[in-house]
Amino acid sequence: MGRGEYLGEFEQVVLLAVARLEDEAYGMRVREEIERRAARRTTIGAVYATLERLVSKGYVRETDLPGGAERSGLARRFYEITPAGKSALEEARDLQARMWSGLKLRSGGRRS
Amino acid sequence: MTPPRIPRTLVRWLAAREDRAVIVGDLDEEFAARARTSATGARGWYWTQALASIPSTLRLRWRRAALLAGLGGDIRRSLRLLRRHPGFAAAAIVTMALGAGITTGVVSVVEAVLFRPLPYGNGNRVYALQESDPGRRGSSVSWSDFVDLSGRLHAFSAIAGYSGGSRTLTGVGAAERLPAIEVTPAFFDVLGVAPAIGRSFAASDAISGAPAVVVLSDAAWTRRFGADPAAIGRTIAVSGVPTTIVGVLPKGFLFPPRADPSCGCRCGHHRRSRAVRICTSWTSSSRAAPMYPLRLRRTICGPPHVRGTTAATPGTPRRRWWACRCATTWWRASARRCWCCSARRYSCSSPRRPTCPA
Repeated sequence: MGRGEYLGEFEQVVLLAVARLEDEAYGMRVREEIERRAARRTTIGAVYATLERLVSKGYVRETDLPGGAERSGLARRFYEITPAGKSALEEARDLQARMWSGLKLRSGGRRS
Repeated sequence: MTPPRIPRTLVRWLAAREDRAVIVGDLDEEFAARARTSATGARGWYWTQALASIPSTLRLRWRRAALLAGLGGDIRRSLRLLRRHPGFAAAAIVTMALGAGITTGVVSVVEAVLFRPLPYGNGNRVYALQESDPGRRGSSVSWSDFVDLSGRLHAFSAIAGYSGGSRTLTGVGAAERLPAIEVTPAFFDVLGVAPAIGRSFAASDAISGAPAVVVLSDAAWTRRFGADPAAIGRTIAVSGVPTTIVGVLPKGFLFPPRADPSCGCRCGHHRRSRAVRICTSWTSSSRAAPMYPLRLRRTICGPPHVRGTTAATPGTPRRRWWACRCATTWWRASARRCWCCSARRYSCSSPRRPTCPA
């Protein structure tokens, strides 16, 4: 991962949702997946803005397909995680694991 | 059930073109699914999603705008370079500021001098006729020359002479020295201006022995007579001469343009020794104005005594006539400064002089 191409927290969440949904990953499904698994309310605009950043970083690729009658024929944009995206996710996970390794958080606030 | 129109339009309007159908399609699809359970809840959900998506949708649109993104990068790079070379930056900024200022100034002057017509009805057709005499300064002509020219200038629809000055107004309130001009009867016909009240000057006003008459400016009428229409027909003393007010000029009329607004115009009998300036109005449209010198050459031959003088006495300064198309700004200072659209002059002693009527 180059400089400036780190994964933000929400980017990581969205990328994980895309990876989980596999062939069904489009904007509204990604938003629902985040709400369902992370119990985190988000908007469709925020999801698409994050997905665009991930596309520009090369972590996902997008494909527009014609929509059905349920959406008046409007196109549906599917996302697919790329090998670079998978590497970024694994690196973020390993980074967190290393940082958490051996750490025990003290309860009770600051040391006197 | 259809999605709520306002938030749907809002999203369509805010989203980038390439994202518009995708985002609205997702919202419509989810709305249809939720509406099967609760129509009200679905509408509320749609509104919430649309409004909460405004900031992120705008950010997405900004990122999509490759041109703007490139422009932002250029601006940041320019600022970095300017900070690194402040001397060059100052020189470049001053150069550009000077260039812009000079260009603006030139355009303003050209527009005012060459294109903006005088603020009269015949503003784009008024010319100042001048005589050039190497041995004399000034642009005025003698009264006898004016009388001679009036009968020979067939290329113009009207010709008038005027002379400026000031007169003492008495007979109404305190005596006051007012700017005034003395004009020949066709003066307002030349300019294409009609009085707001009363009448203009008639040819009979200039006949010897006729009572003196005056047309007041709106400012003088308002200030000295309280804008009373009964002032028309009243007799006042202008420099001691009983003079009848016959009209009031329209509000805003100034001669020359931008002159003191408190002037009056008096129709009188010019003394033969008095010099006058001449203004004329062209007979056709302004598009024909460049053809003017050719017609002038045929029609102006100068008074006989002028021709006689120049032809008979070698070495006598030649008299030349030319017409200047007057623009707003330069009329004020002097007719000599008028822009000459017909720079070619006619010389009465020129070998190419046309044959003039006796």
